[in-house]
Amino acid sequence: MRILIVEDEPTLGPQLKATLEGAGYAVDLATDGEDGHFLGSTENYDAAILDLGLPEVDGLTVLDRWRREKRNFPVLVLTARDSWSDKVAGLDAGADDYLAKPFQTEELIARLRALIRRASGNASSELIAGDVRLDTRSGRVTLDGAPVKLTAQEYKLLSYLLHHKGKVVSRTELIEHIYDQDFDRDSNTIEVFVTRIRKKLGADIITTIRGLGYQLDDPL
Amino acid sequence: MAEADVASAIENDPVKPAALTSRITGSLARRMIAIAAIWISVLLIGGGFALDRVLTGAITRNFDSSLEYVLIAMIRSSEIGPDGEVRLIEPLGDQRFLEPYSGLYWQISGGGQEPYRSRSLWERSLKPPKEHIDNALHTYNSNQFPDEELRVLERNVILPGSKTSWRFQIAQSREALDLQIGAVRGTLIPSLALLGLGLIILAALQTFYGLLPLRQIRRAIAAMRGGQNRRVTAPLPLEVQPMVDELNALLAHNEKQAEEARLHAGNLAHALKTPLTVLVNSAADTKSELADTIRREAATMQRQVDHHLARARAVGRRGAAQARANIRDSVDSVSRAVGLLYPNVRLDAEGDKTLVARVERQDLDELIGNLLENAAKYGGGSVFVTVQRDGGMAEILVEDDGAGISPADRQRIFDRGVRLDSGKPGTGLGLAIVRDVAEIYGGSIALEESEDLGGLLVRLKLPAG
Repeated sequence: MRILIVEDEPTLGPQLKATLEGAGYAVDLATDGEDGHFLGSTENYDAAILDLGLPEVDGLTVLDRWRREKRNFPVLVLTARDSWSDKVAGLDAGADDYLAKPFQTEELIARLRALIRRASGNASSELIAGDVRLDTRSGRVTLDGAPVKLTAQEYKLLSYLLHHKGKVVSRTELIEHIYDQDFDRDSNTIEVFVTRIRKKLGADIITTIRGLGYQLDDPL
Repeated sequence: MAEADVASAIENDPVKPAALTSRITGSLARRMIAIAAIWISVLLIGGGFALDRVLTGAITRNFDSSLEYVLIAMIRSSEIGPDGEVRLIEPLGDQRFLEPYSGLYWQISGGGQEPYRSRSLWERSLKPPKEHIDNALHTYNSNQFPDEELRVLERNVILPGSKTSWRFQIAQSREALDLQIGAVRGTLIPSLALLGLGLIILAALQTFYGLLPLRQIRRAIAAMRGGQNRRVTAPLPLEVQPMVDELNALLAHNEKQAEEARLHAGNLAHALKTPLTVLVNSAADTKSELADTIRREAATMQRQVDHHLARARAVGRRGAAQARANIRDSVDSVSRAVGLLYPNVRLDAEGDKTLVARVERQDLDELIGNLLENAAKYGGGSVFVTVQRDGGMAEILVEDDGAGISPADRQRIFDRGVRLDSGKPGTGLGLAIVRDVAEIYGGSIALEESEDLGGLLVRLKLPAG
C-alpha cells in the first residue's frame, strides 16, 4: 500500500511518515502544495493524507486540481480549522474523510484503513421488498421513495429481516443479532419494534408466524 | 503592567451617565417646539394689543362723534336770555335728556350762575374740570358719578350778545361703549388664542416631519443591532446623509477589525494545534510520568483552544440582511461530514430542497453541524433531519433515537459548559452557541421529544428567505 503525505510542519510530517511506515505502508512525504500536487498527479497512490494549511499552494487547491485531473485515490484531509464550514469545504472539494488537529496517530491509521477499504469496492447494495428500499451503505430506508424515520434498533431488525427475505426468523435469532452481549434480553421488546416498523412501513410488511417467529417477503 | 494601565484608564474615563447628558441636551423636538411656541406667543400678544388699540379707538371715535354732533346742535340752538342767562331755543330731540338718570346728560355752566342742566341729571350736576380754559373741544372719561362711568365732551363758547365764556357739556354713560368694546375683545381674544394654538400645533407637526429622518436612523440602527441589516441604507436628506455615511464607515471599520480578530483567532488555533498534535503523538510512544503529564495537559490545552475559538467565532458574528443559504445543501454536506466522524450512525434527511434561510452559509453549517454532532454523539444511532417551512420561518428538526432530555433539564442544557452526559468528550458549548447564533439571526431553538424515534427533537427556527 502506497501512501502520500502532504504536510509542511517539520516535526509532524516525519512523525506521521515513521508511524505509517511502522504500520506497514510505503510512504512519500511532500512538504509543500506544489510538490504534493506533482507527486499525486504523477505517481500512483492508494491514498493521500493532505494538510489544508500549506505553503505555496493550499490544500484545497491541490485537492481540486487532483480531482480535475481525474486522480481518484481516496484523500484524507487534515485541518486545524475545525468549524463545520471548513470541514464541509474539504469534503465538497472532493476529500473522502477529514481529521481535525490535534489527533492521535492511532485514529489516523484507523481512518486511513477504513478509507482504503471503502475505496476498494464494497459498493452499496440495496435491499428491496415491495415499496421499501434499504441502502446498506448509507443506512437510508425509503418507502415509495420517501425517507422513513427508524431508530437504530428498528433499522437493525428491518435490515436483518430483509437480508433473510422470505425466511422465517425466530425471536431468539433477532435478539442475538440486535442486542449487545450484556443487554437485558426481554423478547417482548422485539414485538414492540415489529409493531413500530409496521406502523411506519405498513401493516403487512412483516408477517407473524405463530410459534416460530417473523417473516418479511415481497407482497403478493 | 500595560494591561493594568489600560484597565485603570478605562475606569477613569469620565463617561457621563446617559440620564445626565439627556437632561442637559434635552429633546431636539421639544426644544424646537418650545422656541416656536415662544415666538408665536410673543407675536400674537403684541399683534393682539395693536389690533385692540385700533379697534377700540375706532369704536370710541365713532361714539364720540355722535356725542359731538349733539354738542354742536346744542351750541347752535342756544342763546342768551333777557337776564343774561343761557337758554335753548328748542329742546334737544333725544327723549333720554328728559328721563332722570337715563345715562345721557347735558349741562351749560358759566357766569357764576347755577348751571343750566338737562332734566335727566335731576339733582346732580356735572363737575366742570378746572383745566380746559381754552375754546377747544375736550373729550375725557369721568367717574364723578359713583354708579356710572361717563364719557364727557365739553367746549367753552362765547355766545353772541354775551361776554361770558359758557361751558357746554354732553355726557353719556360708557356702558354702551364698553359693551361694544367688550364684544370686539370677546371675538378678538379667542380668535388669537385659537390662531396661536393652531400655529403651535403646526410647528409641532413641522418639527415631527422635519425630524422624521432622525427617527429613521434610530430604527435603522436598532435593526442593525438586531442583526437584520449591516448598514444604514435608507435614502436620507442631504443634511443627515453625511452623518450616516460616517456611521457606515465606522461600521465597516469595526467589521473589518472583527473579521481580522476572527482570522487571528483562527490562525492562532491553527498555529497551536499542529504542535499539540506533535506533542501528543510524541508522548504516545513512551510510558512515563512525563508522557502522562504531557498527554493530560495537551488535552486541557486543546479544550481551551476549542473553547476560545468557538467564542471568538460567536462574538464576531453579525447577521447580514442579504445573507441567504440553502438549508438542504448545508444539511447534506454537514451530514456527510458528521457521518465520517460517526461511521456507525445513520443520518438521513427529508424536506424542501429549495428552502433558503436568511443566514450566512458558514453560520448555517455551524448551527446544523453542532445539532447533528450532538444527535450523533448522544443519540442511539439514528439521526433524522426534516426541513420544512412554517409561515415566514424555516424549520429544521433534528431527531434522534437516544434517551432524550427530561423536560426539567431542557432549560439547563443551554447554559455554557453544562453537559448532561459528562462521560463523553465535548466542551459543553454546542447548544449555547447554537442558541446564540440563531438568536442573532432572529431565530429560536426549542427542545422537544421525538415522536417517531423516541429521543430528542431539536426544533431550530430561522427566518426563511
